[in-house]
Amino acid sequence: MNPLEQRVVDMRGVIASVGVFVVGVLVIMASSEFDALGAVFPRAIATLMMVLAVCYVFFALRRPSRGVQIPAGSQWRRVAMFGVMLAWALLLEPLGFLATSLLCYGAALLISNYDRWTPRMALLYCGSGAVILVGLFLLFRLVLQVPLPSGILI
Amino acid sequence: MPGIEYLLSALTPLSLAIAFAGVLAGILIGAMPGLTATMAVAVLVPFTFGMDPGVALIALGAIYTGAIYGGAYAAILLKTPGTPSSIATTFDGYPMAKRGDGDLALTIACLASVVGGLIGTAFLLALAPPLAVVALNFGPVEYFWLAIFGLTLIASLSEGSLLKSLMGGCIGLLLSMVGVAEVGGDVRFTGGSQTLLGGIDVVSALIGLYCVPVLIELVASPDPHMRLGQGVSGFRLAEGLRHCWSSKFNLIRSSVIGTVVGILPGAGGSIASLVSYAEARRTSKRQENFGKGEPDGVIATEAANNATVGGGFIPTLVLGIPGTPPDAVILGALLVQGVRVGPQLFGEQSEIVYTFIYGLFIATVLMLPVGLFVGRYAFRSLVRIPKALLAPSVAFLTILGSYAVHNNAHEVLQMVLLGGFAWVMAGFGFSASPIVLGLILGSIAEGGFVQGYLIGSAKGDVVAEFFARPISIGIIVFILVGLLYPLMTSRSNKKELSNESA
Repeated sequence: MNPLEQRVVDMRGVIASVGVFVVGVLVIMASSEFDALGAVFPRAIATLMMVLAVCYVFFALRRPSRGVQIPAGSQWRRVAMFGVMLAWALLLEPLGFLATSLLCYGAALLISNYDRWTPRMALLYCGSGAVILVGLFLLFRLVLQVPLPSGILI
Repeated sequence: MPGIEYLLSALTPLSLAIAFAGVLAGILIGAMPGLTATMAVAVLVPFTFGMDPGVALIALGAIYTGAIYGGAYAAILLKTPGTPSSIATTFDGYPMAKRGDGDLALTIACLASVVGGLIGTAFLLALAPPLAVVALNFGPVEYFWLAIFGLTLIASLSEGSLLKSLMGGCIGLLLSMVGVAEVGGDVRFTGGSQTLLGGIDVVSALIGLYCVPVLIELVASPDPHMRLGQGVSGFRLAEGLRHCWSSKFNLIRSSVIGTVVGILPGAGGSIASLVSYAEARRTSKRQENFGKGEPDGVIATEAANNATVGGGFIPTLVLGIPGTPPDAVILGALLVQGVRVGPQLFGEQSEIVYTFIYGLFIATVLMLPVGLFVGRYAFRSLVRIPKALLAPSVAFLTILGSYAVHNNAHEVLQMVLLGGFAWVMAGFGFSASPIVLGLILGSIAEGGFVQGYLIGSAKGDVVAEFFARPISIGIIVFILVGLLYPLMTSRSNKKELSNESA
């Protein structure tokens, strides 16, 4: 091991383990409402989870490690991308598949692009996106007969 | 052994054209995240109704085998298994693609798929009736131990902390329990939501757990998403052949595992590829490279999942029990065609069945040129496509794929939320693979355990039911060897090192 490599207590791991332990407790409490056969597996797994969580906290505090490496990059873009995906899933039925997809695809395009927008690039990206979306929409709806949601738009 | 006349009837221009078109259609559908081999077969079944039964069977077999192989594209290039059978292909295929060896990974996947498919079909041709009888000896307890065997793979998938991986596996097992319990009918962990009564759909969950975190990280920086290796043409046949030749035992062992697991009704390609991956890692001299882009990992999983095609047809054709989910769809199509499956099929309707088996051989061989050709363009296009276009397009495919599984928008929401969960957990040092393993194997393990317990209680000896059946003992031995062998080898290595330094 590199002697210059800093070893720290993996606090993120400890926090997650505490969370896992709490989930284990909640599962055991919830399983009291199940019959014996339905409860045996959740209880066994929850108990194992709790034991593993305690072991992790014990070892993490006793033996510091290299910890979790946080990837570099734009945090707002990450959160925004997840937000777009969530909106995509939530708006599918109310707005319609194609309208939601065009909207969210455009938003994802804005989030993903790091280059300076030029009219040519905008035309190319938006045109390619529209071809992909409309092409697959037609393939699934007309050829494969998948009933994609229509919503208030399309 | 069936005669040459059946081979000739499978070699007609029509049969060849159908096999070619079926393989191509299967590869293209299987390559799209969320569109499974089952869906590929189900969507294309109506096209076969007007065909002669033998040709229809060749078409369905070709679609099936093509779709299973097609799943490797998304697994290797996008870290999203195109079909559940290619989950384990992501473990080493994606790291290979990240370091610029995506074309090599695709070539190896194609070669291994062809060999696996041929070995599975050879078993179907030579040993179908006796092997189908073996499958009937698998009871709930054997399935339970098989699932536990798959779960031991968590130990080998641990990136960083083994304890975190085991906790991740437990989280996956808990997720598999959401919904109505298979035995007893309890409604568990739904939080009162009607949409969770049917449980968490595995395909949507896979897409979410694997693909959404990749998408989120993809947009976080302007760095290129994939590198093109020096002097790379899109496929590396000579290098791929060398890798496969040097891993010939791994290739054959994984194909046999795939065939045997394929014979077991309901087990399927995902379990076959996980079990063969675990075996490949256990027996490898380069264990530490697994999960970091080891070609042997791709060989093991792709050989195994394509071998399940031939293996799965054994109980389907001999017993009328589908070995894998796509076999169930094909079984339905056979009944529509007026083909009566069962042991008599090999006697009364031998022309149809042997034409089909030879047709499957031909379709598997055709997969080599078609797969290499498609792979060449898939890889080159994906590397060159701007990231700003790739991320929204992949996001769209994940939404479309998770919706199309059951035409259900709630499963799209499940996919996104599980993806967000996987991304958050990755920040705490938890990887997605153990969660996925737990999710897939949980219901098999629980169903097998509870049913085995009930049978054992009825017989008055639960312990004997779990530990005294011959097949169970065999699997338990494999589990113990799988868990203890790496420990023993690492100890002996340490001992050797300390002796050398002394």
